[in-house]
Amino acid sequence: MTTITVENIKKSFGDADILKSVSLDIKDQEFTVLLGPSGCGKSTLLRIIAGLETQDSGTIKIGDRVVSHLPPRERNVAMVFQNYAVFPHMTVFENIAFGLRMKKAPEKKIKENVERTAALMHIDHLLKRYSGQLSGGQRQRVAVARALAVEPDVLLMDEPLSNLDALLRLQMRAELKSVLEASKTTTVYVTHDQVEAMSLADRIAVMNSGRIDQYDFPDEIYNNPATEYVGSFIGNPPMNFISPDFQVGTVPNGAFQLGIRPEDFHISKEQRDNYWPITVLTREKLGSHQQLSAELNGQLFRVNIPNEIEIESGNTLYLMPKEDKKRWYTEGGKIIL
Amino acid sequence: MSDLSYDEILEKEVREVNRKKKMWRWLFLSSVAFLVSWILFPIYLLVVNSLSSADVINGFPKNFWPAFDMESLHFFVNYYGVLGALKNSLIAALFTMVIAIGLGTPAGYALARFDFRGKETFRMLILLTRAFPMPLLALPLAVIFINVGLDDSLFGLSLVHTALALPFSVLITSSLFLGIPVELEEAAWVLGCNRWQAFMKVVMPLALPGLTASAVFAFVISWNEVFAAAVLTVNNQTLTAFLVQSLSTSPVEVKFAGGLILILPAILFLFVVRKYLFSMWGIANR
Amino acid sequence: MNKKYYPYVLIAPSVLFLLIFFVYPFIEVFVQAFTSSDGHVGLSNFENIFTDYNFLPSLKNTLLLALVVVPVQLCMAVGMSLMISKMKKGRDTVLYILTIPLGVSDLAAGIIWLAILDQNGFLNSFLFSIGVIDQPESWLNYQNPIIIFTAVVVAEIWRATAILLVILVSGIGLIPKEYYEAAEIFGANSWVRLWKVTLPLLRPSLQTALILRTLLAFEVFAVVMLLGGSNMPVLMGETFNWAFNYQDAGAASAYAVVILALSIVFTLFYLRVLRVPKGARI
Repeated sequence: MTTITVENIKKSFGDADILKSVSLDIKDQEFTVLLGPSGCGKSTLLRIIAGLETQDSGTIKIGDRVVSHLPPRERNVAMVFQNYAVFPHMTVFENIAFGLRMKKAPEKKIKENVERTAALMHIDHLLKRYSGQLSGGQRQRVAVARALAVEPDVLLMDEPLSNLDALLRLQMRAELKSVLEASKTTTVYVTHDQVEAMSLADRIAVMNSGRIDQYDFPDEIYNNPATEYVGSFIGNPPMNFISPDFQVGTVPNGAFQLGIRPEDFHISKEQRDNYWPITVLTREKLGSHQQLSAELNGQLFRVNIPNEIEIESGNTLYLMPKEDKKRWYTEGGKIIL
Repeated sequence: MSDLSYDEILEKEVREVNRKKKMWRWLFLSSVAFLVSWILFPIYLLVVNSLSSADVINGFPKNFWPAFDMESLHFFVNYYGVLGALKNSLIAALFTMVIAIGLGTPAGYALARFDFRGKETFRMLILLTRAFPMPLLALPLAVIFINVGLDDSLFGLSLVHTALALPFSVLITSSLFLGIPVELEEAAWVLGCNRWQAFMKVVMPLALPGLTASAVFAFVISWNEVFAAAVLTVNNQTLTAFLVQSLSTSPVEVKFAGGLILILPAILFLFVVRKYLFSMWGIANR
Repeated sequence: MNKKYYPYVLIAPSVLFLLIFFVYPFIEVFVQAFTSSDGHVGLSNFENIFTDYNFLPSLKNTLLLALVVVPVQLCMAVGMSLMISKMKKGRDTVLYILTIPLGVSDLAAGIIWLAILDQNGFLNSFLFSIGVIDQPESWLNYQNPIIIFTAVVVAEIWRATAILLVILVSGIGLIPKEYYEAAEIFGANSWVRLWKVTLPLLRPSLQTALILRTLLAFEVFAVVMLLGGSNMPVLMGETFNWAFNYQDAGAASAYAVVILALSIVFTLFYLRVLRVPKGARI
């Protein structure tokens, strides 16, 4: 049973509060993604879990063991780094064997584990090579195999795919997903890429300048953003936030803004009751649909419409938000349930 | 008016451009050749002198070809005090190398891997040493060494030479460690190493060639140093001190052979570290 | 042990060493210079050296030497580093050869040039063989102070241009070639590119190179001793004489203070003249 419990972790560098009392409960075998823009503290949190940084206060538990005071080597974690950190002076075999050798594992087990994980990552033909003779994607595979070979309690990944080119990234993402599902290791994965997060995660923790705004299943994060920040970070284009002064319909108490996703509008080319007349500013054809940037009473918003609707910039279009998709937010940016 | 066709004009232009290119190329190559011989020829002449007998050296006019006569070198080696001086130079340089690397490497690692209060002050102290004529510090140290029994000792001298070499070894090693991604070390920590093991298993193998280069650099600094050596050693002279102190008394062939012996190891060592010369200075620069 | 203390433990040996062998002797130089032979604080050491007949000539020679040698070397080093940056084939070999003098001490350089300029040296042999002279000339004697000075200049240029070259080559290596391409697209010829792109961007390297080289010029000693002997006194040589031949540590320290003062003045001068505005670096 390898749960990870993060309790009230605080960390600051100089004057900058990087983590402002973060707590997180990660279940056994769960794949958790820490998602947020650069500088939100997600990598720092991961590195604190790994033991590479020391928290100012708070505790980390792996299983039932408090590890926050332990150096990385005593936490039985493994980590995959953004730039892979494959040791250049060792062969692929020695790289993958490194952790096991440090644990003084018997030679037979080392060989078995190296060969098993290398086969899993499809690099069994590269075992004698050095890192300089590998492509970026191959190095990435070595880094993952090296992490899996030690059979860690917890696998930590710091933007492992961000240095790969787009096509390779898609391929590796799918592969990682199946490998990690099979390995059943509790995993914490850091990324700034929401698509990666949505596709890989069991649960996503969306981080916003040192806090976790929402920790939930991907669907929940998308459909019910807990804060205005989450809504505007997830989704491409993000959720529209519109002040309710020209709203039609019931506005709940304390509501300051309406959040509505670009695809959640009823659309009409003619004026209808309760529809908003919007002025189209730009139209972008995206293949599967069209995306409009539009304006109403000085408020900008984005709308996705089907390809069949013919519209030019400058034209007027009529919209109504779908009732069940409306989300209301307080002035502080919190969702009203 | 004789009309030239377009093709003829074009051909003329191309010819003109090619001629200019050729001229520049020639000028370029001859200046390269000139500079190379400007450096090498004087060294060659020293070699000629060292490989000639005393009669030839003192004779006139000189032959520009070496006679491959070992008399001068023989005489030099057997000249009173030379062998001892050679040995002393070697010992002082080795001491300097070991102390400078031993002290400089940890400091370089600290500069590369840690942020700490006083880091900038330390860096300033290091850089400051380069803004002063360090050999002069041998003067007060000569007095101090007498009081602590280090006078006329190679160890004392190598301490002064270390003061010259240490700033370089700190800056060079710190740039070496900066060039090794910290993630490699972190990966080793996560995979079960403590700091020392990670340093020995991951950082050291990668830094070794550069460390060797900076050690060689420290060696050459000591080997070549004249002033402090001449002030601090009397009976235990290094080769440079010996040559300076006996300028007026030693025969010319001793000087020339000594000069050759002085520059040979330096040239050899520079050849070994040539790859690092520029990265060293590129960084020692800031 | 707390992780916080690691860096201090790591730098402690170096700091301690520099305190003992740099800061302390540095202070001690001043103490000795301002302590007269009877143990009182005073300027008697300076009076001694200022009234010495060799002081003014040695000051003049040292400054003049730096003033002549450093600019010539700078121009040569800039030219050489540009040349090397244009080379493809053989670049490494040429670079290695041009930096050989880095490993040659001023003593060895003095010996090399002595072999050439000596009365029985190679220069005379050459001039004799082409019939310019009919007997060996003694160039380096006291009647020819200008020739002695020139000989030292040549030897210094030969020996110490390499240090500038190395600093400048690595400086040029830091300039991205896009800047040149941009300048060329906008119509700058190679001369303009040198003055408007290379040299301004090279300013930090030029600064380091000049400071280092000028300080080394003030330390010149063995070359002069070999080529000029007592006919061309320089500050460092006088310091050596007072310390070694006259065994007068106070006077030697006073000389050392003069050299240190010169070094500081010139360092500050270069820092001021060649300062690079914050944020204008590559």
